[in-house]
Amino acid sequence: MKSVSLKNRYLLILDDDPLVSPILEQALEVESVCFSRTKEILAFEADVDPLAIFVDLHLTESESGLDVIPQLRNRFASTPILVITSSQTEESLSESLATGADDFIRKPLSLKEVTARLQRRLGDADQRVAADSVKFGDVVLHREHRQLRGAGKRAELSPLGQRILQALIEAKGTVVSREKLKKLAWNGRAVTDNALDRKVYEVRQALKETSRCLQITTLYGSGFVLEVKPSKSEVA
Amino acid sequence: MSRATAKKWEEKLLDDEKIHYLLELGKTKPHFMPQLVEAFAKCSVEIFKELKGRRTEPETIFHLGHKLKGMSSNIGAQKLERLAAEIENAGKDGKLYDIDALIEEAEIAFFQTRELLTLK
Repeated sequence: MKSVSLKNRYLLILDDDPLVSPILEQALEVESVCFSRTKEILAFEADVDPLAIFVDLHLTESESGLDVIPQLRNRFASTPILVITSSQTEESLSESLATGADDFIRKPLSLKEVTARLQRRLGDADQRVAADSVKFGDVVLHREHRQLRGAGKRAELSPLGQRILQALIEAKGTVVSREKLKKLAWNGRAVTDNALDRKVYEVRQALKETSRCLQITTLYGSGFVLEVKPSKSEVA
Repeated sequence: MSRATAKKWEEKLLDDEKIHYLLELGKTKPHFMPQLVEAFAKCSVEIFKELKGRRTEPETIFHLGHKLKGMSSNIGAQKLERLAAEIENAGKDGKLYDIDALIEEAEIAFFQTRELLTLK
């Protein structure tokens, strides 16, 4: 499995044309990671999400970029995916948009068009992220995909875990009682303290993976609070 | 017809506008254009080798023609792009009776294009 420790944003490219990657890199002034086979791009791992993903529809006789767009969309929820195609048929374009791509560009690459479309899609992506996400401290909760992201990592949450974390974030550092958390997460259904504790544990684990400064503190008899960890000097 | 007139009517190998654009794009990076030409040449040689070896397989001919066409268009090799499109269509339609001549003509265009590009 290919793993890259890229610190900065980059382009992720799936195309068997070896000229596409250097041309896009030079035109957009961004580094790129390029693959020519679908299995390679699906095995790719990096610390940071790409700035944008370019996918060629026509790869080999048996492989199409269309096959991996749903997986890429699922993994990179807010990253623009642009399809590269020389196909003149509307069918393949509408199919690629239906599977999760945001836009398409035709070959031969017109770099003015690429730049314009990418900028537009990056703007859309920013708006989408803002509408879909809640930021607190050094983490961002992406509601649509139930993902907590921070420190270059991401953690998946269950629907209940997400509701609990959202309630704690919205409380902005104040205590949320057990009863209120249960009511918000389970929609008023009666549940045991043990069930709540299990879900709080799940959220704590997600925070441990993604945050350097946040923690959930239990206040016995009162409830829970999401707060900034005391620094070492404060503890001393 | 004089030699000059014949040359005037000869199909141009390169798309000047595209080449100018790529040269402009790469002017901050001296290795940009030579790297593009090298990648184009290396990949084209592989494509021609495979085209010759699998000349009876329409689907492969279609795929290889398509790949050559896309790459040629990206580097402004306009004559090769046209010939690659013909190879692609021959594969798509399953009409391979003239494929040998077409591959040969495309390969000659490739050699000439590569020579011109290395001078850029």
